[in-house]
Amino acid sequence: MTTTAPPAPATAPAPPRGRWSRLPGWARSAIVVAIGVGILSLTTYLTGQIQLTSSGTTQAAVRLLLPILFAALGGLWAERAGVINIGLEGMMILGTWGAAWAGYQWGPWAAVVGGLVFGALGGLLHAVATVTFNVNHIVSGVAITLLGMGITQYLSTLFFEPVSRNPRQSPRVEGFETFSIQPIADWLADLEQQGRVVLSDAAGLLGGLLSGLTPLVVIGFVLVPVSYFLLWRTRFGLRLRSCGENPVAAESLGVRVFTYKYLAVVVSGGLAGLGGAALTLNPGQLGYLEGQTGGRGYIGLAAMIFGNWRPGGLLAGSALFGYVDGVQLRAGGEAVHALLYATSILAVVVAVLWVARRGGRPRSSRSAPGPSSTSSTW
Amino acid sequence: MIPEVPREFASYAPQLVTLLVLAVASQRLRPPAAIGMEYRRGEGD
Repeated sequence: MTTTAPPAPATAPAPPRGRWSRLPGWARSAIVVAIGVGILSLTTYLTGQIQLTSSGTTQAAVRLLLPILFAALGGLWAERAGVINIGLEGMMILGTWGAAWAGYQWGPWAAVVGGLVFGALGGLLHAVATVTFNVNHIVSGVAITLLGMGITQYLSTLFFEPVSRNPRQSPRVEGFETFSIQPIADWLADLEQQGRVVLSDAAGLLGGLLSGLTPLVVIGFVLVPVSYFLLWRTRFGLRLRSCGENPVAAESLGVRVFTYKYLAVVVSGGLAGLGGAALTLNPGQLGYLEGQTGGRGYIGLAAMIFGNWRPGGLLAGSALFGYVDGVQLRAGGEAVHALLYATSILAVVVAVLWVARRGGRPRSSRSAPGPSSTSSTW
Repeated sequence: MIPEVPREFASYAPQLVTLLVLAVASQRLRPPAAIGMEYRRGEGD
């Protein structure tokens, strides 16, 4: 994963450009999603686990992926500016507390702002430690996670216990009202009920995405393209990323590296705090509960790394974790077993594709076959 | 053959998926070059 080792040469050997890599990015994503839906509907058909593709599962998955998505976006902002943010978990914990404290007094929008502000405070602390005082990023991040746990325990004993009679829990927070995108959601629900083989599965998966929405879900999904646009398509983003690639060169060109790093880490903390607010405002469990984050900050970091430090990739990573979590929460062990089945189908499909790709090409085009050559296609 | 995955395992499925996916995907990743490095103003070569 992330290391503080000497700067590794960042030039990975470019994969040979085939038909696949000549496709535009959106087409590749669409093909991957279509293969995924196909495999899931095949698994549903073969094992009879209708929960795998039901709209209820997708809704649960969206709720569960939202905190992970926010944390992953936070990781993206910090790490693109060159600061490792292991403290996402701690900023998320601060966010859950801030959201609950503001939320039970002034309503759900205040909860969002409270989570944002408390997370950003954690981010500011991380920025002071790592950027100004050059503390090792991992050490500072772990310290912030521990600090977040300690501070929230102290504060909730101080503020929540008189109201909720429980130092580990906040009073109930009022949540957002959910809404659906009509009439598409109703139409998809109809289609799901009809039980056609692939169509109903796709309708269930898509219908869950379009119903039971809250404003926070919309904010989360909108922030992915917004982050992409800001970081990759504006001067501001180019400067911010240059601080993560080569700060000395950026400085020589007049970029205010300290300012950009500070800004990136504070935004990162704010996003992680929004993830905490998403947990607090989760319709299943409205309010702060000690240990509520359950390592989701770290999973968000992992989703971001899996997504190769890119917004689209981290969305895919959080969707994967959210989906698995949603399936196990709604349908339990049997459905997870069916997922293993789907994984083996996926492995067969990948193997067949791989053989087909290798078979149609002369062996000499393979440069440097080594122990890692099989995995380099991934 | 166990007919279903034990409940205890099922609740850890996301974490296990995280491990597996990262193990498989970590071959082609490219992090930002200066990530985690110390930087002091005006001390470049």
